[in-house]
Amino acid sequence: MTFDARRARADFPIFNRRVNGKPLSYLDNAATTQKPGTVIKALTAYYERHNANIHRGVHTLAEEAERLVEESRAKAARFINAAKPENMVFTRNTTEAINLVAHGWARKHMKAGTEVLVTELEHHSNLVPWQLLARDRGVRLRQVPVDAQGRVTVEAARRTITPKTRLFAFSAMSNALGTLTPVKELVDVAHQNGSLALVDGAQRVPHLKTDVQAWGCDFLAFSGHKMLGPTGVGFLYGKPEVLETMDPFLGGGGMINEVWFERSTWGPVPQRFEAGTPAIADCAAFGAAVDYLEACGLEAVHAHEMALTAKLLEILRAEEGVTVYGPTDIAERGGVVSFNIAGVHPHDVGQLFDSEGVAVRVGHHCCQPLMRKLQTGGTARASVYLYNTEDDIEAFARGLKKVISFFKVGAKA
Amino acid sequence: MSAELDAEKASDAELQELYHDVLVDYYKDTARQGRLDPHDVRAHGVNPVCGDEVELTLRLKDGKVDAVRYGGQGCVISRASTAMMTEALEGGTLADARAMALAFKAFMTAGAPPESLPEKLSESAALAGVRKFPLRVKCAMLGWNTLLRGLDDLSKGGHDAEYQDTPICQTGAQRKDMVTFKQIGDAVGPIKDPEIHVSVAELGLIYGAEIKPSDAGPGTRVKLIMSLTSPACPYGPMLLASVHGALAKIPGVRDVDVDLSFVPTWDPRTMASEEAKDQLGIF
Repeated sequence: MTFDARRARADFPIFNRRVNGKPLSYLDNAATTQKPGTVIKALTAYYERHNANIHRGVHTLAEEAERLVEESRAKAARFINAAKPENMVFTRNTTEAINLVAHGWARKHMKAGTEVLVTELEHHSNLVPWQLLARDRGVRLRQVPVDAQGRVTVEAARRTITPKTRLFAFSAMSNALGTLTPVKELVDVAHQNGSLALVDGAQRVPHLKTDVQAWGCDFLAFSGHKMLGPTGVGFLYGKPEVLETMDPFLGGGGMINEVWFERSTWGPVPQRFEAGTPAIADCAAFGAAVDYLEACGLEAVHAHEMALTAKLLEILRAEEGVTVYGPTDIAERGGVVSFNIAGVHPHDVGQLFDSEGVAVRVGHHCCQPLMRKLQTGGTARASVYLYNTEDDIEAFARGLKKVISFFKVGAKA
Repeated sequence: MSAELDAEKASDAELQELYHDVLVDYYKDTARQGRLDPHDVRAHGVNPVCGDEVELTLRLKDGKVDAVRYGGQGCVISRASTAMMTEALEGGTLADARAMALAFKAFMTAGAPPESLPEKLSESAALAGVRKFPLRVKCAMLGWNTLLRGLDDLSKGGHDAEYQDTPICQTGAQRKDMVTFKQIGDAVGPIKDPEIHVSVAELGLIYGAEIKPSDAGPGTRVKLIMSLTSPACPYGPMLLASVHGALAKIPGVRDVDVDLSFVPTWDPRTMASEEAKDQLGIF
């Protein structure tokens, strides 16, 4: 089944606008995605018809609001094949989900001298929380090295993990390079060494069918805004037996069982981790994003994205003076392409693309250690999603030509 | 359609202006790239948002800047601006350096005319196109802000300074409740010198401005550095009062400081706009 991106594009109101007089070619999907009309309508419908606080409401609106939020939780669970909706904790985003594990699980269970293992691919959000933990608790933070193509191999993970490792936290897909990691095998490496496994799914969950039960991971973190949903909604999936052992991260309303002046008992999972009024409208509208993706069919979407990615790679590799980062085999990549043009700073690349209506991201992509390893300060990055079409790829090619002629790449200064 | 075509043309023209040929030449120029060892001043600056980095090393001789080198990495705008700066610094005093920095800041962020730039910095007028791209102004300022930090450090006896650019959320240009340089320009713009009846901004009397959150409470502290046509100007107090009053009226301003500076000495031939020079009869 082929996917009709042009038809999908019409569902996204933002593509009615122009940028610098040109149609918008949005190739910054690894940062955040655009929202279909159904998601935007769900946001306004919530405020126009159902707005009420959740928890303990007995009036009609409160019950409706609660139902909308819980429906979204159930949809999120189904989307990643979690056994039950109760395995899903609402967070603001992937970053908050990882921090919840660092506070609720690691600070309780990890002793001085034990280790957290990450990879060299990690986004700062899967690095800094562990640095804070290391500083506070005397825990060691170690990294699985990546190879020259920015890949994490099972062998490298086996070599780096030790009996002291209690948590292996790794990205399922690199936001900076597009590398897909062997998730199932890495989870197995963790478990064989008596460690838990946390998967950062921010880049992968929106694009590839995810099955947490097949992976066997203990935690999965992901964000709603990278999969057509509103900002302010993310999830931590946790195995129930692991979530049960965790302490709350934030204290307050909605997360308790009983409260006295001196002490409290914690409420059940997942509410134990959801103190205070959440972003109810955003949580509710996230459900509409899942509905949209399921109607499109994630497999068809992915095939479409990879066809566009192959074209991007071909265009870039045809130019002299262009370096493409990440795996050479497209089977080891998602729809993210990071590159540099000899002698031109990524910022200037981004500015010229913008003049063609093409939105790409430039800089270190919150992966400074990885950039240092690649011996560059930053890259330009194009990333695709379901509403991108051949037209966007052509605009990208025009932008690239413009950079090369404008800055006379290859010509002697 | 024609509006769209216009937008497209305008955008390409703005791009040509942003990446003026002069800038691309300076970007590729390696004459002052590198590091001086030994040196008398070292200042290192980063913009954490884009990762741009600059390392300045200065050697002094008889109170003057003998040589300057810069290292690091950055975009065309930041590298070219730094290259021009280092060229202009050599042979001048530290006071000249500071005065140039303030004049350049006023040019980039407060809308001062290109004519207000000191003679040695006249090439930097090519950066005028950057002012239309608020996110890129920081690129042009990185080298200069790093230099100012280095000079401040030196005046306190230090020789190794660090400068870190503030995140966008903390800069006036991006925050709704913070005052912008444009608001300052708009407020001060209509004020005329009471003696010669020409706008103080056009005359080039505004040397620079700083916007900071007030430490006394909610709101902004605005500091304006300006000069007078002569230190003995009899209308000085009156002029300062009207500038002070105009700044205080900007919504969101809590405190106002107007500082007088006579370094450099005001010189209409180099500082005033063409229009002001016409009005003054200087050709």
